[in-house]
Formats: sequence, C-alpha cells, structure tokens
Amino acid sequence: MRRIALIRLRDGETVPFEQQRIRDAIERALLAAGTENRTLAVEIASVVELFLEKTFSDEVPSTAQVEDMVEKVLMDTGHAAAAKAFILHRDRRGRLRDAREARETRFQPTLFDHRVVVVDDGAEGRSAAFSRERLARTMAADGTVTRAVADDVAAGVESRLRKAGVARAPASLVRSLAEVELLARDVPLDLRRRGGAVLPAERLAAALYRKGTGGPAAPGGAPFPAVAATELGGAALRSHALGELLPAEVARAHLDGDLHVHGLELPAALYSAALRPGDVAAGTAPGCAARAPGDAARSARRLTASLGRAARFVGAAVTHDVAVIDVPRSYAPLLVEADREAIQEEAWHLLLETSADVGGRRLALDLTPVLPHAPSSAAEPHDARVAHDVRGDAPDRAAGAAAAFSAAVLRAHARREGLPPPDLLPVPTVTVSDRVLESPAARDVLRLAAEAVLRGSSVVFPLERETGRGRGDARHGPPAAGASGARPRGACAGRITLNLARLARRAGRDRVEGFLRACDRLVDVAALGHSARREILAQVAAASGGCLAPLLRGPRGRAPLYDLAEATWSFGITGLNEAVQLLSGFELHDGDETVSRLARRIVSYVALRVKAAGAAGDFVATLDADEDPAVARRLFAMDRSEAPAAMAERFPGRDAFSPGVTVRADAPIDLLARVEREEPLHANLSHATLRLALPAAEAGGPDGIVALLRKLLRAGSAVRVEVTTW
Amino acid sequence: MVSRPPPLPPIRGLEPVSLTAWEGRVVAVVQLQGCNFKCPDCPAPHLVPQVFESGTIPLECALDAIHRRRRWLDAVVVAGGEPTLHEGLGDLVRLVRELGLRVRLHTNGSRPEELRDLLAGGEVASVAMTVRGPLDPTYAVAVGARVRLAAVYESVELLLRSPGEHEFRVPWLPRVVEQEQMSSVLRMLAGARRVVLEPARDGNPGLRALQQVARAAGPYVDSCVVAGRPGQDYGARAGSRSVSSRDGA
Repeated sequence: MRRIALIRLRDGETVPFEQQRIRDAIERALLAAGTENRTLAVEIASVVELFLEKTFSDEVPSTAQVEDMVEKVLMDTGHAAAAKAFILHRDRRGRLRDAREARETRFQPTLFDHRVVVVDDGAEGRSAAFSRERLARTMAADGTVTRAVADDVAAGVESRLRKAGVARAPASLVRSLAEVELLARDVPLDLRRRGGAVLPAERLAAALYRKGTGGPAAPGGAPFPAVAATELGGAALRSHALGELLPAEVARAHLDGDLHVHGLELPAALYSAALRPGDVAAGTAPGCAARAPGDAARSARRLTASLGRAARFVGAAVTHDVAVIDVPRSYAPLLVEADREAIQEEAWHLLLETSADVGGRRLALDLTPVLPHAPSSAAEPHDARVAHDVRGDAPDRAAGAAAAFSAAVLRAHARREGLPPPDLLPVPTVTVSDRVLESPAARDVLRLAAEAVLRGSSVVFPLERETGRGRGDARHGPPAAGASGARPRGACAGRITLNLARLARRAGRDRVEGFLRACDRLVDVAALGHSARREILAQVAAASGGCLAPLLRGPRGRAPLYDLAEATWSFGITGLNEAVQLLSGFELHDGDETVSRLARRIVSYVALRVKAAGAAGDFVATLDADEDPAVARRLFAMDRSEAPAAMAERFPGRDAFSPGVTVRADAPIDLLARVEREEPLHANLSHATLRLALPAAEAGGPDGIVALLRKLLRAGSAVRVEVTTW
Repeated sequence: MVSRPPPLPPIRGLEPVSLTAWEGRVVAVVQLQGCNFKCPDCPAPHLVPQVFESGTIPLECALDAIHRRRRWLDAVVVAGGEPTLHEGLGDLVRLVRELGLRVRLHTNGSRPEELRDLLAGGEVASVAMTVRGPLDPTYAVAVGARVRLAAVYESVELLLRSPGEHEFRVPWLPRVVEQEQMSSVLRMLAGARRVVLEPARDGNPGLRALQQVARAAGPYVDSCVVAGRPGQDYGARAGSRSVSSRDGA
C-alpha cells in the first residue's frame, strides 16, 4: 500500500497532499457540531488517509474525492452532526466557486469554442470570430498583394493574436497587425492609406465632455450632443478621405501642412453655393414639396417657409458658405400691397427661417434693393413676374416694396427681438454699386445697413463695379459661376489652400524665384486634389438617391439647381504677410513700395499658375484669399512643429499666420494704410474680404461708413468689405 | 518794393483719415497751432497756445502724406486751434486745392474778415463754425476769453448768406448754457443748412435733453442732428422722416 503523496486540484493541477489540511477541516466540522476535541480530529484524519491509500493506491485523488471520503468517514464513525456541518460547508464553497467562475467567464468568447478570437468592429457595431480566410480575401481584393502573400499575412496576424493570448481584439488592432506583417514582408504599400478611421479615446472624451479646448463649438457654450456627433463623425470621415479618397501626394501635403484641403469632414459635399428664392418658386430647390412651380411662392409667408427648408437642404450638402441671393427682388411682387406692419412681420419670419441651427453655419442674406430699370438676367417664371413689376406698369411700387422689405429685415436684424442669438442669425449683405449710390431708396437701405454695423452687427458689402469683374464674383461670396444666368448655376465645389509662408521659409530670404517654383509644384498638387475630388462628386451625383442628387439632378425632370460641370474649384492662399516677411524681411505694413510690389507679384503669379492648372485639368479654377483663421492657425502650428526654433525667432508670440492676404491684425497702422496695403491684392483674387474694424465713435455714423464704401468702390480693387465697429 | 508773403501756418497735427470731421466724407485733418479762445471744454487744449515749443510737422511732409492718399480722400479739413489767426491760411488752402482736394475750414467765427476773404476766393468748399452759446455775456464764459460778439454774429450771417456748404456745431456747456439758451442759439441760426448739437463731454445733460432742444428748435434750420444720433434729423428739410437721405459727394 502506497502513501498518498499528491492531490489533484479542480483546475487539473497536482499539488502535494497535506494531511494537516484534512485535520483542520475535520476539527472545524466537529467544532461546528459542538465538539472541541483535537485528538479526535487527528484520529479521524488518520482513518481518512488510510481509506484514501486503500482506495487510490494507483492514482492521484482529486479534491472532490478527498472530500467525499471525509464525509463517508464522519458518517461511518458516528459523527453525523459533524458530517452535516462539513457537507453544508462544502456546498456553500461550491456555490461561491460557481458564481465566481460564472462572473469570470462572462466576457469570454461565446461564438465558438474557447480558442476563438473575437474581433469587435466598433464602427459597424458588431462582433465576429477572427477568420484568416476573410482577412486574406479582403487584402487580396484590394489588389495590392497577391493571394499567397495575403494568406501568409493573415496567418501571421492570427499567430500574433494567439501568442498574445487575447480573447477579443478590436478591428483596428487586426488592421494594424496586418500592416505590421505587410511591412515585415517588404510589401510596397503606403501604410497611411491603409489606416482606418480610428479616433483616439481622448478626442472622443474631449468632444463628448468638452474637456480642454477640443470640444464642439456650440453657441452659448452648451455641450450639445448633436454637435459632438457631427464633429466626431466629421473627424472619422476626414481620416477616411485622407487615407482612401485623396491621392497619396495630396494627403501627405495636407498632413505635412504644405496645404489645407477644405471639407474633408464632408468629402462628398460642395464648398459653397448660392440659392435664390426664385429657385424655390421654380421648383428646382430641394425640399420644396410644391406640386407645380410657383406653388411655393403664392405668398411671402409660403415663400419664406419653403426658402428656409431649401436653405437647410442646401446647407446639408455644403461645407462652408451658403448665400441666399436676390431676396428683395423675389419678395417685391408679393409685398406690393402689404402695409408697413405686414412687411415687418414677413422680415421677422425670414430672419427666423434662415437662422442657423445649433452648431450650423450662418447663411448670407443678400438684401441689395431692387433698382428701377435694372437689367434683369432672370428668365425663370418667378423672376419674370418681378421683372415685369419692376420695369413695367409699377416700377416704383415694386422697387419701393423691395427697398421697404430690405429695410425691415435690416431693422429686425439690428433689434433682434424674438430672434435667435446673433451668432445664428444670417449675415446681411448689401451690394455697393454706383447705381445703388445714385438711387435714394437704395442708398437709404445702405445707410440702414451701416446703422446695423454701428449697432454691433457684422454686415458684408460686396463691391460691384460697372466694368471689370462680373456680378457673380463679387456679390455672393465664394464664386458661383453664372450666378445670375438662366441656366443652372454652378457652385464652388472645393477649396485647397496653399501655405505660402511654409514655401517662403523653405525657399529662404531673397529667394523669390525659388519660392515661385515651389508655388508651381504646390499648385500642381492642389490641382491633383481637385481632380480627385471632382471624380468623387461626379460619382455621388450620378448615384441614384445619392446625397447630392437633389442638387445636381433636377427633380421631376426640371433643371438642376447646380451644374457640376460649371462648378468652380478654388485655390486659396493664406499667410501672404508672413511669406513676404520671410522673403524680404519686411511685413506688408512696414515695408516700402518694394514690399507691396513683391506681394502683388506673388499673388498675380499664383493667379496665373492657378488659371493654367485649371485649363490643364479642364475645370474652372479661381484664386481666392482663405480668410479662415482656423486654417491659418493650423498651418502655423504645423510649421512650428517642423521648425520650432526658426518660427519662434521669426514670429515671436504668434500662434497663427495672417489669414489670406491681410496685414497682421495688430499692425500699428491706421485704417487707410491697411486699405492701401490689402486692396491692390484683390485685383487678382476672385474672392477676398477687406475687413475693417472701426471704433464706433470714429465711424462718422452711417454716412461715414457709406462714404468709406463709396471710396473703396471707386478708388480701389477690393472685392468685398466687411465692416464692424467696436 | 516787393512785400514778403506771409509765412505758411505751422501744422501741429495731422490726422491721416477721419470719417467724423466732415460727415459723409473721407477726409484728412490738418490742425494748426494757436487759438484766441480758451474754452473750458476744448477738445484740443494743446493747440490753444499761440507760442508752441514742441515743434511742428513740416509742411512738405504733411502735403506729401495727403498727396499719397489723395485717391482715398474726399477733402482736407483745416482745423485748429483757430486757423483764421494765421495770415498764410489762404496759401495753405490753395496748396491743398492744388492736390485736387476740397477744403473744409473749422472756425470759431471770431475773425469774419478772414472768413469773408476765403469765401470770396471760393477756395473753401465748406465751413464748420462752432457756436458756443447765445450771443450775450454768457458767450465770454463759454469760450473763456474776451470776445467780440458782433464778430461772431457777422460770421454767422456771412455763412447763412454764403451759397456754399456750411455747418454750425453747437456744443452744450453744462452749468454755463441753459436749455432755453440752447433753443435761442438755434433760433439765431434760423435758415442754416445744417446744425449739429453736441452733448456735454461728461454726458450731463444727456442725449434726451439735447433731443428735446433739437425737436423744439429744429424746424428753424434745414437739418438738425444730434452728434451720436446721426440717423435722426430734426430739421425742417428732413420733416418727419427718421432717416434723411443725403446726396453723395
């Protein structure tokens, strides 16, 4: 008979047998039964060990078998109460053990056996077992690797997962492991293009809980969940666009900070577009449920409701600016008979309907009054009615109604009673032209706009000269080709902004020719990006039910709202002031005529190159000033990370380039000096805004502002002027 | 014997651009040193002494600055101090006119002879005259100096009869000029084409009192506005309209 040396635990492990543990268990059972006798416990434990030796002479007993033996011996030796206590204790331990095991195995894979690795695809919201075959098939389908290599890589990924001993893995980890395996096999692959749209947890937390400064910018500072969702969705789409949609060269230039591709968060959207109330009346605007053209424009209230809906539809397919143009002209025939109170009411409704949603973009509202005997380019039925009213029987009444409506909108905008906060209200725009200045009614509207400026509103004044650039360029923000024609209007389909300061820093002081050559190359890269974007938009437009279909394909056989073939493609420039500083040593404001000449040369040269790139790529290209401060800040940060010492030396205390072609905001110069430096540059730009901030006390009242606008119209090249007071 | 021409007036200040000095126009303002009044609420007391020690802006520099910006400017406003104290004012005005710019003169009306000469020559397109109170002993208190009231009255009459553009600026000096006296000033200016009532610098009495004055006496003049409320015209020409329309330059 052999002594018991080992015992097998429940998890299969064998450990040395310890008689002491049996003695202790029996002693505790006897104690629970009311008998405190250690000698008895030792004797019973000896009996248990004897029986175990007899029963398990050739095998290792398990823990459960030992416990069974203790129960049997206690019962047989007449210690029923102690046996009962032992059984109860054993049962309680067993239930606790089961509960713990159940808790520990709750998140274990359940799809297949315990050896399966579950892959969690958070973007799709589902899980599936890792499949070597599926991974290999996906990689081979890309066409970047052969099936044999794909099989090899998939096996490598599975091996890594098994070695790591993980039960579940996120899909992003599987993608990363596949990239590592591809890299290990020297597969010529741009890894950045393989990356999925993965957002870091910190970014998500920042957006959701507004931690730090990365949270969604919502009016009033409230954390709107929808704003966070939009921002995070945009971040994921931006990642996808850079990884998969754009050419690698363009994506790299964007990530490096050589340029900035706008609208990456909505790759299948237009950059900017203009909408007319006449489009609503003609039934070409999306979101208008009217059965027949004109139904939506039977009353001013109906037109306003339909216009607001159409503007929201268009806004959802545009990443930046949406302008509602020709507003007074469209409302004039509907308000000829209306009294002053009714006009004020309609103006209030228009502002309410065209206000931005929370987190949305503000519309631009064109309030230029109708001028009597104005040549009308409209050929649509609704506009034809207006033109008849303006030029035919009652020109004064129609023009008067249009002017009264413009004035009412401007007054309501300035008062803001019962309207959303100012940062959601549309931005009024009033075109300044010689004919506007000559017409007393139109000039009154202009003065009212100037009064609104004095009351703290921001009003944009496009400048429309009799000769020179066309109406569509100046009035409606980012260029919309053929904006006043009867045929479908174009829109600005995309914008890529060139970082001029980066190129100048790389070129070095006084190396203007090298800088211009670098501009050539960057314009080519941007043109490549525009071409790729055009293909994406064409695919989306052609897709039945695609998101751009309502805009680019006419509803129910009617003419489309926009024509992609006529869309313009914008090349933006920013950081001209810093580029000039790096090339010449002087900023725009502190240099002499040589510096101004250099700035003009750069802009005119890039304009020429952009035009050539458009012709080569068979698209309408425009050169615009990118006045987005966020872009100027981002590009500055990229430059600072590339050359921290040089940037700190050149631009101490700065955190952004001067946006567009503007003079530095805190430059110690007066108003006219600023105008003199900036406005000549507009001669070569399709879209640029001269921003003038005046002390309210020195603005000279509305007449002072109008005088300034008149001077800019007649003496300068500025395209648009935005006046604010402080 | 050829008499030596009077020296050109010393330029003490140059405001390259102003939207307030001539309403509705973009102008540069040339400030000349020296004034014969010592108004307690003078907005530019540093220009009052006729003997100046801190130097002047060379005339060539001032004219060059104006010339470089002439395409942005509608006019040049010659202000003071009191510009008519300087014998060479006419020459200065002619130099500015040669730049292709119109000239407005800011004066206190104490020297009607010089004003008449300038108006007769047709060199000055517009005159802005400051009237600080009714033409009674109060006026001497308001301007802080001995003043020939007949001269001020003559200047007012001269401008009212003149076909050119003019503007009377009437600042309200608190505790010196009462509200009734302000109304009498406006009645004295009856027939004026434009009057601008300026509130006290400390804001007391406030805009509301000034609007009452304008509303009561405004119909005597074509256009009567309160500085800081340019959209509201209480003059006879504007009638009941709250917003007047003016011709562009």
